[in-house]
Amino acid sequence: MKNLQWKLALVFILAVIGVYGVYPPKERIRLGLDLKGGIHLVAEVKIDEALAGYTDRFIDVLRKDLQKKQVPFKDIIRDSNSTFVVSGLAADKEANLRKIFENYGEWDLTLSGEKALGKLRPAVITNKSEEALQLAIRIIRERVDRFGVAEHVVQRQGLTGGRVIIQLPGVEDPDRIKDLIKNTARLELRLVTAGPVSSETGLSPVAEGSEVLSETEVLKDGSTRVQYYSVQRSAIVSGEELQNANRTTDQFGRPAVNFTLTSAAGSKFGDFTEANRGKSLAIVLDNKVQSAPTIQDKITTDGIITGQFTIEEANDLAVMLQSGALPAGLRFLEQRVVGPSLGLDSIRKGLMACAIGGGVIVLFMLAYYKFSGVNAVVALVLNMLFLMAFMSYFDATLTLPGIAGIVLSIGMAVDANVLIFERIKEDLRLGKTARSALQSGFAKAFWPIFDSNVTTIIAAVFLYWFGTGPVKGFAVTLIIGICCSMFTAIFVSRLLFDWILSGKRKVEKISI
Amino acid sequence: MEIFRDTKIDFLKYKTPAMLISLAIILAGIFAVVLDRNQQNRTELFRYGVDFSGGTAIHVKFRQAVPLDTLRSELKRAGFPDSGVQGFSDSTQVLIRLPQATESEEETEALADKVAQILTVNVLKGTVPSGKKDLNGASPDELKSYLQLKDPWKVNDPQKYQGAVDKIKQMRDSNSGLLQPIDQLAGLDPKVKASLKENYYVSDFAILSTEYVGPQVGSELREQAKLAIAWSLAGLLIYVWFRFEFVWGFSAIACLAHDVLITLAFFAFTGREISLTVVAAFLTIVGFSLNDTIVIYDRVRDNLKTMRTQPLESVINLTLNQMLNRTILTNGTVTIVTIVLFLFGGEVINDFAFGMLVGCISGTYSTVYIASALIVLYHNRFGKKVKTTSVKAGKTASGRAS
Repeated sequence: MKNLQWKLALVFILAVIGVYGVYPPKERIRLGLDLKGGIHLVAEVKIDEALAGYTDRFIDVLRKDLQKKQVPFKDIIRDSNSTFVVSGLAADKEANLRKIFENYGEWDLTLSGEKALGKLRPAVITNKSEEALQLAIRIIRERVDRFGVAEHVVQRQGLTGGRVIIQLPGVEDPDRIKDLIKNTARLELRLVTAGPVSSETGLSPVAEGSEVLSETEVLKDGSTRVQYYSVQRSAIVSGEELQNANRTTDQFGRPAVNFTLTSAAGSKFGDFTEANRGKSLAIVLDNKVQSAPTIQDKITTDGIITGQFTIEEANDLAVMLQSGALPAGLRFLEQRVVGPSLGLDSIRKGLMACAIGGGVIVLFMLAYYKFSGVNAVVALVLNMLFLMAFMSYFDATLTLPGIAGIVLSIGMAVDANVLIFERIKEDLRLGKTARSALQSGFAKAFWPIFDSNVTTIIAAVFLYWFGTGPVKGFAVTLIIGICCSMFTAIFVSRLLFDWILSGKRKVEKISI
Repeated sequence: MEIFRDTKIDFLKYKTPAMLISLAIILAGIFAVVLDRNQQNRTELFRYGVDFSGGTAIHVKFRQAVPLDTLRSELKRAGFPDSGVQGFSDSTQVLIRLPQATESEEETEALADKVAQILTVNVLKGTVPSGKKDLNGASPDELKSYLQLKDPWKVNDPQKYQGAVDKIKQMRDSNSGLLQPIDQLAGLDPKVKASLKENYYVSDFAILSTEYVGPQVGSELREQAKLAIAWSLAGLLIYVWFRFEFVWGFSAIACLAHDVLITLAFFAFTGREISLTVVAAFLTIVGFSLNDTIVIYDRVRDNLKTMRTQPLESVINLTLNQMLNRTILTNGTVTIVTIVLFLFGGEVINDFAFGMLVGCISGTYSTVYIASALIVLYHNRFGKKVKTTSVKAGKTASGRAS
């Protein structure tokens, strides 16, 4: 008897916790993108680009080092993403070179005649790829954060590989957000050595240590004008040395972005601009010249990037500069945009299907099992409550297939009740007393219920394992739904029967 | 109340014709699949959705129903020869499929814009007012900064326009993405309307969703789906084998394969596409059908303990009769639920609901005519008495109770 009270108390407490967990449902249940509307992206970080960048930076370092140590060489050229070739080495300095090369831990350097081949070690490649991916994820996250997307998800897809899942609920403009995410936003201030000219050939031969970059401008009549500059390869100041960046307007009132350098970079920049008055400075963003103003005076920490920006573009550029440059560009492999109206429509229809399906089942159970049907319905309601509470506490996402999963798990929950009740009926027909029919009915029905639910869970687990997005949501609701229904159909339903029978000494009949 | 009581239907008498019917449906399904493939010049066997084939899918809602044929021919004429158009039960909605663009993966928006242009000019025979944009497709951010720039109220405070933008968004979202013409937008200040009209117009359709899946992801998802089905079948085989015996497990899995094949056949008959959610439906069918089979198996095993001398066929027949009420009730309610989902669940999960519906009916049928019939056939053929000793868990709960 005491046992019964404890069990009732337990169910009651669970129900209270459940209600607390799901109320108010609008805030507690996390909706998937297919219901809320928003953008789902799968992007691949171009790891190769990051490696190439790493190799390029090392080549710069090596070049300076060789110059410092007065080792003559002709050129250093990157061969692939992770290899480079030094040419024109003097053969008599071989021992000397070996000594220098041995200092670079991450690189295998092999000498053959006047050439040397540098190769990034495989372990380092793995390491750097992983680093690049993690950095990319961090920067993308920061960008969408600063852009103001609430409840976004930015995470790696799977455990290996270079893919990132980006989910942005409530965002309606894929064009803009993709630009914000995918641009590396590498800002560099570089000295112009020649230009601007209207054709690339006008700049040849390009001075040592310089390269040709272009600037594209849209003119008033809508046509575009491309100009070419020869600029130094190495930057005076780059994006990492920014302290801050904000949207502003230039002297003509057009949108622009101003930036502040860190004080160390500021003093370096100040010295440089003082010494190079009258020359032009190119503001280079992702290897494209934005503008190339002439240095009028000494500039220390503050600068402005002008160009043909809209308000949004200027805003987004500031966000990107604040968040930092991506180690490599992104490629979008998958993109799903769900408009908010479709999501609303889906919720409405899904809930309606739920209501109709649930209503039909309730009527059915009441008509067929009479009073015991009430028991089944109570179990069903509790089942729904526990299911929603689980989803709320574990922060699981409800998707449209997930709603279908709930509807289905209602159907399956009924099965457990039906199996039990049918067994009870059979035993009553055999002349057993109500109490013993109950006992044997529940006992006999347990294994088929267990087996059949385990098989559904097995299927759902594989679904979760292989599925993505909404399908995963479906698997989750199905698994939780089945677990809850086992509990309510076997434990709660039994308890309700026992409770009703407990008051009476001898019960001959139950309404079933 | 009871639907049936003490019935003595000889279900298994019809096992041969039933199996032949199943076989016929599956063969017809294969025929339909191959025929459809040849007609459509596909390289893949099945009609895959954008998840598996890659490409772009654009879900459009029109103000008035548009004939699908017109849509198809106009898209072809406008330079999308391989496009596909699929209707929904709501005749104002369509799904436009564009195959993989080979050169670049990042032009989904450009494609959507181009399709929008075709819809306005060629399909709806309207004109795009020069230089104006579709208000149905304008994002709230864009509208806000536009109003801020125009500043019709001369307030120079961007927050003041938030209310107007919210109102537009709310009207649009609650009406399947379609706005009324700008003049008729209720509760919007005339000055704001005038400003909007300078740069926007309202078209007669709205793009509800766009999906782009790259070729690489498409083929990976396809592999994953195949693996998911194969692994879950293997997992289930092991479980049933463990709980019953191998022949029973094998029959159960054959029954599941039957259900998936039948459902695939019906997808081919109705020209539906196989997408990620449809695979979810398949796996649910697998779980549900096995659920049904196991409940019967369990009872057969129970009955075999007391009826050792009876032939297996009559034990199974008896079991099926004993379980008839349960089968009708459970499968009846689940079938009703899937019918409700199919009819009222909306366009997005219509294929899923259809798969579930076919699978549910097939699953109920196959428990009798595949899963049970196969063990009877095996038993009759090899004449072995079913070993009740190998029936595990025999003295679990049911033993204790009686």
